[in-house]
Parts: sequence; C-alpha cells; structure tokens
Amino acid sequence: MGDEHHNEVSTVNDSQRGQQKQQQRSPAYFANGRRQNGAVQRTQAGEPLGNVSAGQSSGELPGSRGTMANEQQYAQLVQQLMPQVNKGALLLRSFVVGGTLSLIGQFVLDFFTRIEPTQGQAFATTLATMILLGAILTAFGVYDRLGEWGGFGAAVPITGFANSMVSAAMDFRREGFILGMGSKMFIVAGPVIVFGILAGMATGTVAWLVKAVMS
Amino acid sequence: MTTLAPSQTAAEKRVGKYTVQLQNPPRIVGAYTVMGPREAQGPLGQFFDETVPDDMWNEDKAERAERKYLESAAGGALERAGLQPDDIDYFISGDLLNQIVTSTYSARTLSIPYLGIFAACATSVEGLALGAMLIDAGFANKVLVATASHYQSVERQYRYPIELNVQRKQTNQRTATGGAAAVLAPDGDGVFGPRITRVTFGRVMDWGVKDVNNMGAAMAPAAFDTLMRHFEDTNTSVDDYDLILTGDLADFGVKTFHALLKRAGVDIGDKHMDGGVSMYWPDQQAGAGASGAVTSAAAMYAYAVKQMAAGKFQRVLALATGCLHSPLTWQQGDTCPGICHGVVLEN
Repeated sequence: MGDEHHNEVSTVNDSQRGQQKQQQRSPAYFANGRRQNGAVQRTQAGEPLGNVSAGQSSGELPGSRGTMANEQQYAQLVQQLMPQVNKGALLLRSFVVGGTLSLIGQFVLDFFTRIEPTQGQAFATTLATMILLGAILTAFGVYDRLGEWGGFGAAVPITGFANSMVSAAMDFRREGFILGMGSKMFIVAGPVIVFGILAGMATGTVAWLVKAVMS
Repeated sequence: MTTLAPSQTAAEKRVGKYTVQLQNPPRIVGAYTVMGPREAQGPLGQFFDETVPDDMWNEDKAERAERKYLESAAGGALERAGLQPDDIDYFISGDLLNQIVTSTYSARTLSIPYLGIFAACATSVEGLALGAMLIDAGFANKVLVATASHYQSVERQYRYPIELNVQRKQTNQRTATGGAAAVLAPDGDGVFGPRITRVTFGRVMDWGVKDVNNMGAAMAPAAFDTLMRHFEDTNTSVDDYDLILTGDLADFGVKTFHALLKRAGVDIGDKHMDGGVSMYWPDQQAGAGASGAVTSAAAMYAYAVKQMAAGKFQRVLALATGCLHSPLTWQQGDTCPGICHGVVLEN
C-alpha cells in the first residue's frame, strides 16, 4: 500500500493495526473518494458509501438521490419550488414604511430648525430624536413588526439603526451589563459602524484629492 | 495476523441495512406536552395537555423558561404513567441550545441517570428510539425521554435578536415554544399505549443547501432517504401505514419532500402530515411553519399518540427531521446537513 511508510514512524503495534484496518477496507472504500492522498475528502452527499453494502440485496437504492444526478439538479428543483414573491407589493410596503419614517423626520427637523440656533444643531437634535423614537418603538415591541411588514423601509432610516442596537441590548441584557449588554450590543450594528467609518474615510480622501486637483 | 470479520455475531434484531425490529416492543405509557400561547392557538392547540398563557412563564430568562417547559412535560409524563422519578432507569433528552443545557439542567432537577443527545429537531425520535432499544435489550425497565425548545432562546442563538426588524422569508420557520416528554415501559398485562416496533436511524444527508432560511429544503432529502430506506428494509409501502408523520419540514420542505417522492415513484397521498405545517394557522405569521425540537415531539405525542389511543390510527410512522447546521458553520460558508430518524408506532 502506498502509505505504508507512514506507519514506520509509529510503534510496531500501531503499524500492524493500521495494516489490518486497511486490509479490511475494500478497494471500493478508497475509490469512493473518502480518503485520497491521506486527506479526508467530502463524499458525494447522500450517496450510498460505494457498494460496500453490495452483498446486501439492493445495489442501487431507489432513494439514493431521488433520481437526481447531483447537487445542481437538487438546487434547480428547490429553485422551481420556491414560493413566488410579489416584489411589487414588497417594494410598495417598504416605500410606505420608509417614507412615513422620513416624513416624521422631516417634521421633526422643521420643528428644530425653528428653535435651534444653527441648521447643524437642528440636524443633530433631529437625529437624536429619531434614534430615541426608534429605541422606544423597539422597547414596546413595535419596531420588529414594522420591519416584518416594511422590510428595508424600516431598516435603512436611522430608526432602524437604533433598533439594531436596542434589540441586541435587550436580548443580551440577560447575561449582565458588562459581558452581556455591553459587549453584545454591537452584534448587529457593529459592522455598520466599522464600515460606515471606513466608507467615510474613503469618500473623505477622494473628496480631498479632487479638491486638491481642482484648485 | 488475525482479521476481524465485519460482524462476528449476527445482530438478529436488524432488518435490512438501516432498520431495527424490536422483539419485545415497549409501550409509551405516558406522554405529556406543555406548549406556549401561540402554539395553543394553532390547529393542534386542542390536543396539547397543557398550555401556558405567557411564553416566558414568569421567568426573566428564556433559557430558564425553556427548562421549565421541559421539566413540566417530564413531570406530566411521569404523572400520566403513575411513576416517580425514582422508578426511571434512564432519562434521555436533548434540545437546541449550545451544550444542550436545557436537558442537562433538567436532568439535575430530576436526578435520574442521564443521557444527553443532539440531533437538532430530530432529537425527539432519536431519544424515543434509543429508549425503546434500551428496554427491548433488557438494559432498562423504564425510560423517560424528553425534548424542548423556546422561540426566544433558540431564535437568538441561531438567528437575530428578537426585536430586530427582520423581514422573514416565506421559507423561514418559527421555533415552537414548549416541552414534550414520554415514559417508556416494557409491554405486559395492564400496560397501555402505542408500542414502538421498528426503528430506522437515518444518515446525515447534505445535498448542498446553503440557505439557513430554507431548512425545509435542507431536511427534505434526509426525510426522503430515511423513508425510502425504511420501506426497503421492512418491505412495506405507504399503504401499510395509517399516518406518516414528519417532524418539521414546514410548507416548503413538504413541497420538496413530495417532489422527491414523486420522482422516485412514491405517492404518499393524504397519509402524510407534517408537524411544522400543523403547528400554526397560516395567519399566525410563522413563515413556512414551525421548527424546533418540540415540534415533532408535540405532533407525535399530542396528536398521533392520542388518535391511536382513540383507535383512529393503528400504525403510524413518525419521522423527525433535523437541520444540523450551527450559526458558526453557516458563517463559515458551509452547507446545511439534514438528518431524519424514524420509529413505527403500533397499537
């Protein structure tokens, strides 16, 4: 056998045992892609393990692949059976939810524009207010229903960002303030923050370069 | 040099390659289901032994609530069987949480020698079958088997935080809340309940489904494989059973399962019932239906076993399916393997 020299490094007993094992296994075992060049390979999923069982009645089992040749064929079948999604209705619903949230945001902005000294401060206060709104709706168990119905219409506005933080905080509060809430709060929002900052840096750099070239 | 023959002693209880024929089939002498409020409103609601109006059951942690469901179901099953925990030789249990903590901590309460098992949502039948085999082999007199799952604990382990704004796909399944348990005892005078006559343990089947939101498609090949092998081993067909009960394939998994059977030329007709489909009404916002370890157990103990006692069914084939992925393997880009175990229940 090809890998006999492997056994030389181990004890005599181990080597003998290894030989015994290999003799017990039929050539079909090795031919079936289980073990080649010492590496464990994934068998063809769900296929009977070679004809190790050929001594027993059936040979080709009726159910081995459900008359399907490979995974691609199964993927095709699954795709065919997939329920049809009415994308138009989903888009409309997401527009209604996202639009309504944005409209509320616009009213809040208009209000703060009147009472805050600068436009920048008005923006900041508006964002804080919308985050608070998202947090409160999450705490009362309303926001996940908005998301269920409106999809990304609820996820994209800043209220959705607040929801991703608060929902995680609520869930992991049970494991304590420090190791639970404190660390797991960012489980959903974390990537948004990390890649948001990175994207900000990238666009900032581009803007700075363009400005430098233009002037 | 001596070589061991593949099998020096013939296992006389084996039928075919995958199936076991029990010689002294034990009976399910007590079964009990405790389910949450949403499940109570579903089509199977009337069959559950106990329903709880608050899914958290006055606990502040979902994991503890899940434990309460399992322990209550175990207590109920013992009561139905007229037994004390002391009378039980082995407690076999499993659930979906990491390190199967629900079962382990319940075993601490019950104080019975404990065997923890995991086969995702196929755990119920795996436990039942192992218990039956222990009794048949003469290793045990009484065995208690149980399983539980909880929407809040399982969703947050496998999916997202509960209150996150996620739009469920139509193929998504909702973890059912509840606990289910059964007591097995050897057949004898004055012992009633369905007998467990045959067991077919399934292989792990993976036909390359990567979408964790489509567990039905991941499990359908396993259900199909175990069913076909059971038929082959036992030389039976759909006609030999009054009911073929699958665990939690749910709407879409059932469709796929039927398509696979059709290709193999098997007509399962109206004898098929799926626990995942029957757990919720379509308007209960559960996506394709229920999942969770308790789904198959609840459908089996609450519906099939009771209908058998009422004489409606004589022989039922229960196939529990499980999707064996973990959030980790999914994030690492692996496919979702499925498994399916079957038992035959006879009056």
